[in-house]
Amino acid sequence: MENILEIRGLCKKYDDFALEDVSFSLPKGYIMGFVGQNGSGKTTTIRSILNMAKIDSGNISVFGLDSVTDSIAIKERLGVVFDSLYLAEHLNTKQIEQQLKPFYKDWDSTEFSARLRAFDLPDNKKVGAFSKGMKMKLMIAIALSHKAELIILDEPTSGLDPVARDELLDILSEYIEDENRGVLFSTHITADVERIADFVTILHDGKVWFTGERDTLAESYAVLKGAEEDIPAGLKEKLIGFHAYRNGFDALIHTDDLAGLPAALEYEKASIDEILVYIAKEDRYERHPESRAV
Amino acid sequence: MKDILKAVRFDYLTVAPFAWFGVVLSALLFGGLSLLLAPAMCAFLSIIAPFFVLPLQIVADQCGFNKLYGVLPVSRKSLVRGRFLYLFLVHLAVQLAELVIAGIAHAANLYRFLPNQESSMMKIVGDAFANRSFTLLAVFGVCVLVGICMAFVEMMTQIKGRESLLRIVFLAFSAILVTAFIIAKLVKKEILTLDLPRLPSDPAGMLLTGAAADLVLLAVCVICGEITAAAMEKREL
Repeated sequence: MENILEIRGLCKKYDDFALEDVSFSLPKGYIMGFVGQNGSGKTTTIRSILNMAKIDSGNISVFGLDSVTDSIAIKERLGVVFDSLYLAEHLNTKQIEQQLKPFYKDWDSTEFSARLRAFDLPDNKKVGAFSKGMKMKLMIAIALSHKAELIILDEPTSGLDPVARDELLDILSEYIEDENRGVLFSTHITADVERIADFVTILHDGKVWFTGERDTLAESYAVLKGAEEDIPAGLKEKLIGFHAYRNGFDALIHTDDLAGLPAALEYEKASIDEILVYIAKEDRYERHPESRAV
Repeated sequence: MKDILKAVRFDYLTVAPFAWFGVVLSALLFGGLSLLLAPAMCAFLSIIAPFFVLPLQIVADQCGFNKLYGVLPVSRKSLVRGRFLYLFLVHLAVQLAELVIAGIAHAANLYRFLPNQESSMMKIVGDAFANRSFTLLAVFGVCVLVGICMAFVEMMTQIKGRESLLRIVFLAFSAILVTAFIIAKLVKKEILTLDLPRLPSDPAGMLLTGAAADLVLLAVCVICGEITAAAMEKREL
């Protein structure tokens, strides 16, 4: 599989936060869900891809081009949707098109008008007066009008109502029907990822916790529940986000470690949401027995 | 160069919807005064230029243009250089408009149709219409001075932030006043002698001097643009 996006050993240090050795790749024709808690480094990674943040070390390749030296050529073929609109809010869509059109060699005005109609976006209303869902659709319309081959979305669904979220996911599903395209979709709403993503990268505290196919992630982890005294010796150290309650415990477990478990312990498939919660719990509770007595 | 021109167009289209309102008002007021009372008053039309430049940073801050700058397939340097070329072109356009209005005012001499032609006030008005060199001096002088100030403000606010604008203007104004005061004292005490070049008295010579002043403004815009571009390129978006 040819990668449309490839990140190797990305490091970026700020005073209070650092991305450490972030590596993952997105093959052509697929959607990758890029998930993690707020502050886990998703936006910094995206800013690094866009060359908006200067990386300390590592290598980012988009369409096989270097993200620093070939930044302009990459952006010709890249569409970006942020969580908020980045356009002049006092202009209407026609005026926005006049502004952006000269910057893109492949801008297609007919496509832009068609997208506006398809997305029910008026061309005579100031874009600042658009709803959040309409603003998202406008940014996607812009990306599609210059024939973007990769769309990067940074928390696009946060603050969207369920109908608008559903519409956005449908648009992305339709977009990816062309196998030469790709979508990197950063979000903390994991239901969206479970619905449309083929690949998942989980970022935690500036590091990649998991990257791979969504189905592999789903098969790799389970939520284990039961009484603490039933945990076999040596297993507790392998549990992730172990949390003891008055009547038992729960924790995330790798499915490789399920073999030979006593029948008293129950487990069920973990959702991405649950995986994120247990990763966070690992930081808060594990190896701190006094905190467990909640 | 293409990218710089795209940035110029982008800046113009950003402010055009609200800048033209100020243009129409200023043109009616100062254009009218210039045609009727003193052609040199068209120099006040230079206040139009800030209408086209000052809102750019406000819009950029409010609408999150930093993200847009990161998304557009154009370098940050080209965007900054485009801003300063735009600033120069706006001043040049305003100056041309002023020259056209001044030319019409001097050709039409509309003050002749005003009442009380024999009054001392109307004699002053008549003198103003007779002195073409003074009109040209006012047009070029005010426009270039406003342009240089705008280039400085643009550079400092991009580098230091818009919230520092008042402090920057206050410091610059104070520095000019203190320098002027010191020079005046030194001249008065005959420690310093100022041998300023004499401005030409004929309109053709004034036009040439004005063109030279425009070149100075262009040079200031280029220098400020390069300093700003170098500073902004190092900054993360």
